[in-house]
Amino acid sequence: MRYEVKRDRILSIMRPVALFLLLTLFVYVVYAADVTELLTGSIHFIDNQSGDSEISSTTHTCEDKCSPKETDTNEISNIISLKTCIMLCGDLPIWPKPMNINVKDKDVSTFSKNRIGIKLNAPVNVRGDLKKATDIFMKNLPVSDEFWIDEDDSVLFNIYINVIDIDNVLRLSTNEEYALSVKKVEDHIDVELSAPTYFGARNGLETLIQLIWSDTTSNKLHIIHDVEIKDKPKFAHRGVMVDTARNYFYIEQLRKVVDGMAATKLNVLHLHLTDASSFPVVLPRNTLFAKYGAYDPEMVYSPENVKDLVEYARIRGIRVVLEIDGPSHVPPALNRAVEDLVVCGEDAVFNGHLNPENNKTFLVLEDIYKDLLDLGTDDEMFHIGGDEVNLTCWQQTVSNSPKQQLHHKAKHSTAQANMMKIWINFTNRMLDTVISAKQGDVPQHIVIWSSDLTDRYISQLDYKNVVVVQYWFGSINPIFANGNKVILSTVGRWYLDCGFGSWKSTNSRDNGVCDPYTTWHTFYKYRPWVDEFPTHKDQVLGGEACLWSEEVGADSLETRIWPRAAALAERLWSDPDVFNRTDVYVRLDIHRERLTMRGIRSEAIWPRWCSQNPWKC
Amino acid sequence: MNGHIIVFISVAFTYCTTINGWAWQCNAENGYCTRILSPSVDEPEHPSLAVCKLLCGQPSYLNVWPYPTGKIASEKNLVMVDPQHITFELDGSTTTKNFLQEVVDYFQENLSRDNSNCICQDYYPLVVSLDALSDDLSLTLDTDEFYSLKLNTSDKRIRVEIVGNTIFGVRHGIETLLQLLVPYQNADSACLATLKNVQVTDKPVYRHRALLLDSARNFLSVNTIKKNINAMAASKLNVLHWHVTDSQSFPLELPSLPNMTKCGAYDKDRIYSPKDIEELVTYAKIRGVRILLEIDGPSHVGNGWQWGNEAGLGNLTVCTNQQPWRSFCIQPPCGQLNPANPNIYKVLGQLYGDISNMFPNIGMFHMGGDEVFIPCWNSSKEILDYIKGKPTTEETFLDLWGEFQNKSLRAYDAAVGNDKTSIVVWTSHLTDPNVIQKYLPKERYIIQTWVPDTNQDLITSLLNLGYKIIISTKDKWYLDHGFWGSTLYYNWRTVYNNKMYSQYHKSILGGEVCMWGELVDDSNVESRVWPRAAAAAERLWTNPSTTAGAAEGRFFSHRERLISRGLKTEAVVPQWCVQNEGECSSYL
Repeated sequence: MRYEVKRDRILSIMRPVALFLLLTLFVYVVYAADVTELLTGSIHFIDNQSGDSEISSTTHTCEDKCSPKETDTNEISNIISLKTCIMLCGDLPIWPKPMNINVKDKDVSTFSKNRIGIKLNAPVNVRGDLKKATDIFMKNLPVSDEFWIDEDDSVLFNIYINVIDIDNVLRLSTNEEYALSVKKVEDHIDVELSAPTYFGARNGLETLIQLIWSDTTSNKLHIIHDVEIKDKPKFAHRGVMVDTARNYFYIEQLRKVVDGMAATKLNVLHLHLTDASSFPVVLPRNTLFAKYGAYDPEMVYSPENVKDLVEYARIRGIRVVLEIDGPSHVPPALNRAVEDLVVCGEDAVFNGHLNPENNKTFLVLEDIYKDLLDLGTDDEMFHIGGDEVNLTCWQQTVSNSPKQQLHHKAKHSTAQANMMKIWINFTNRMLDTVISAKQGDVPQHIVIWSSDLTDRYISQLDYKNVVVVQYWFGSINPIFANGNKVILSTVGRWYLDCGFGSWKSTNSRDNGVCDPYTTWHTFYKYRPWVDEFPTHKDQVLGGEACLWSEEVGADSLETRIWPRAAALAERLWSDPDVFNRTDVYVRLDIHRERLTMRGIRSEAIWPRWCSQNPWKC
Repeated sequence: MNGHIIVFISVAFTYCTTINGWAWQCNAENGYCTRILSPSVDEPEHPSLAVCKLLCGQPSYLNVWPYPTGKIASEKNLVMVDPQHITFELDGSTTTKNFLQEVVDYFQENLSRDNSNCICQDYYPLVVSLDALSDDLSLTLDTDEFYSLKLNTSDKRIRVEIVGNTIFGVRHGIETLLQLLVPYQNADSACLATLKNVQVTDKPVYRHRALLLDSARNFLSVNTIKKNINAMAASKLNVLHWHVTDSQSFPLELPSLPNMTKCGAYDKDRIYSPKDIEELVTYAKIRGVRILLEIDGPSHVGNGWQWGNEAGLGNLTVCTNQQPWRSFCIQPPCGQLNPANPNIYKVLGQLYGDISNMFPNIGMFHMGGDEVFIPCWNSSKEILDYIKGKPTTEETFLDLWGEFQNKSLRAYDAAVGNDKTSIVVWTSHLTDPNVIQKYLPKERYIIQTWVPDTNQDLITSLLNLGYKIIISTKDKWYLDHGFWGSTLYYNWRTVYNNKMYSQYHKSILGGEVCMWGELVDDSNVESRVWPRAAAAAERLWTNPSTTAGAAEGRFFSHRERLISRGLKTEAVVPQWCVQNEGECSSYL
């Protein structure tokens, strides 16, 4: 259809501008029961500049699928920009797609940044956080600050934010839902955003900003209305894991990862802080670990760095999981600080394991865990690592260990079973150590990576109701059968590092351990709770996209993560039933552009022609 | 020394380096550098990896990339250089000196510098003499890139003599010198260190050492292209093959054909203006890089050419943006030039004229010529009318394509006023050894092969027929692979190990690594290309008989070098492997 443009309906009001934070009592309106998306609408206002970055006079219409179309009109008002067309013609390009959208009308109004008024109705301690969140919202509006002041010919834009809950710590159990309504009331736009928690409200602001766009040459903002959105995530744990040990990333770079996650409603930044190759985190109780284990004295995270990052992330709706891996993946350099703490790493650094026979080992671990608990704020979830234990290492170093050859998969090997016992006991002691580090308080969730142990011996782990398995490889059914919860990070589906060949082989023909590269389609399409284990859906807490950093450094961190982690984000947030290829491409491309505008480098998903000719590639 | 007081101040207010107890140790047996905490008393220690790498190894070994092909000798003792006390002596005609001055500026820009207020103490002044034997300033396939470098320290002075047959050889010598100057810091002094005596003679094995960038699928900013050229210069690559247009967009502004960008650019900011081109051409030339422009045709065209009818010239293209695209092309949007329309050659003539004005004569031009999709032409009534009377067989369409190529060549020659330019085309049905001589005379055409392996019959056949070729092994040197379809990523080792088919075959001009642009733009193109393109650079400059394993530590150093010059690069190993040379390849 064509959009009829009615210039006589230009909304213009001449009112003084005020940006105020007033505590206003405001009751949220009940949602419309009928959730359908209307596909018709009309544009009420097109800005009075050309509003287009295209070179010739091109317009865009739904019937041409928003492809650029030459127009002979000189009437600027008859030109519809690509962005406006996309907002009006397909599904609303919100990423991740909300659970429920009710588009009551597809009208567009324009407003200026300086005509936004925000009113907060929230408990006192949450109000400070909301102020920060709205500052971020204002900063991220798609218009440059230099045009802050302009003529007052646009509508007043009121945002009413209501939060009930006093708690502002983000946990797995935090209710992240929100309800957002954007409507035109007489001569102004009213946005009503209600949420039980700060974090729900923050999610709502991220959705609201996605309903707003600017036409490139204009300093005016556009918003679509009337729209009602009621939204909440399907999974509570939606993460990105970054390995800061194989290659180091500066704290500023991690903050940018957080920025991208915030825009995408991902809520867990899991830092795999240390590994056999380096130990970049300065732990107050063991500062020597970083001194000897970091690549460089400058390549460390100070306690203040970590605390700042954790708070930076909290404001953006993200909790930080701090993992110090053990008993494997431990740098032999730690032996310079604590004698005989690490075995097997002297000859092959990547084979470093904690020494189960050193009675200091668990004292050291307890100190490490205490430091991590001090640095983080999430008292519900703690990650102890636990992946890829090489039993041959312990067999060679532990006294009285069985010396027969270990048969990795042999079911009846006594030697194997005996070595497994050592591993199981070690893991149980690690669990105990977490609890002692918390002064006897048992955390809700202690996470370990999937391994041979979780494949076959998970029932022998203590604290069954607490142990969560981060599943990347192996057998998942025994974990379900044992009743444990899982976080999915399946290799080949949700690994961000695969596909760059082997880094350690001198034989270039060797593939990397998990080649090939995992495309965003694969990230998006993976929903094993539907396709593989529907009966265990309730045991899935969520998932994480994992970036192991053997072959990624500072320069490619962002493009390696984005936009693929966004594909995972939508899968975990609203888990759409169908993969509507063209819709997903167009919305993801717009989200990519959104990330780019916020300064986050994000990889191209197609030639730019396809962005300018949506639904045609 | 007049810096005594300044030295005192500097010591009083700042430490020039973090004193942290780490040092690098050279293992004399294998030439590996390793980080150590408490240096042993017996072994000499070095404050940085770069210093260790400079010193470690035999006197006949240098930590330079690509590795020189001629004689190398050195005395592996350090001498200190103050960046403030490097002077140049330029020789030759005024134009030569002007060019060399630009290269000196490049040297100064890329010299490692300490950002603190530290100054260098106990240095020797460095004098660099540059001498180009020829005053020829043109950069072509035939440019002699040989240079010799002699660095000699005596009487507390360091003298470097770089001699080249051309200014471009001298430039390569300057590049090598840059790589031999590394930061040396201690508590109260920040200098550059170099070796006490060095002698190098060097020239490339292959004349055409290229990186292809595609600015049509996604636009690349002028700045991004410059950064790639800078990295090419650091790696002694000498050709930027610029695939500037394709069916998706036409970002190259042509003064006599303004409609091309008007209809074909993504937007007004995604255009290369004649001024941009002038700037890039100069920028590249100073860095020893010539730009080989490709205007692909008759396929891979579309957006940019839609204005023909309105201008009274008829359809310049057919199938443009036609849907469903799978019926008319291999990748959307569709489009092919319309060989039935004689006006197409007038337009091409104008296009070639503009291009020859904007780009200096390098003796080569790339006409693309790949992936003609016959069903497109076969779907056009205009074209079917044009070939009326002939059967619609592959041969008929090949003849039509050959006719197009021939007329394009004539249009090109008319536009530039001679028939001396070598025209490069991709391998295609037209370059099939059975038919190629019918369509493409070997005196005029260079064939760029993109077959999967270097050791292919096609290459042998083309060489036997007397064609000159450029090799772009698809399954080793296509840098876009690994992110779409069933393609695999080729890591730096695979890129490095792509040994050239026959290094002695004069008709193999060289090779190219190709960065097709569907999935890269300014956000990621640098790290997708680098450091892998540098691996190809050594293959093409040196063509060593050894494989990547032997080059590993030197390659890691070169990656650090590219980073220090502001390039975004991919990591290829955990940093631990860089700090503990040789210990990662042996594990597992």
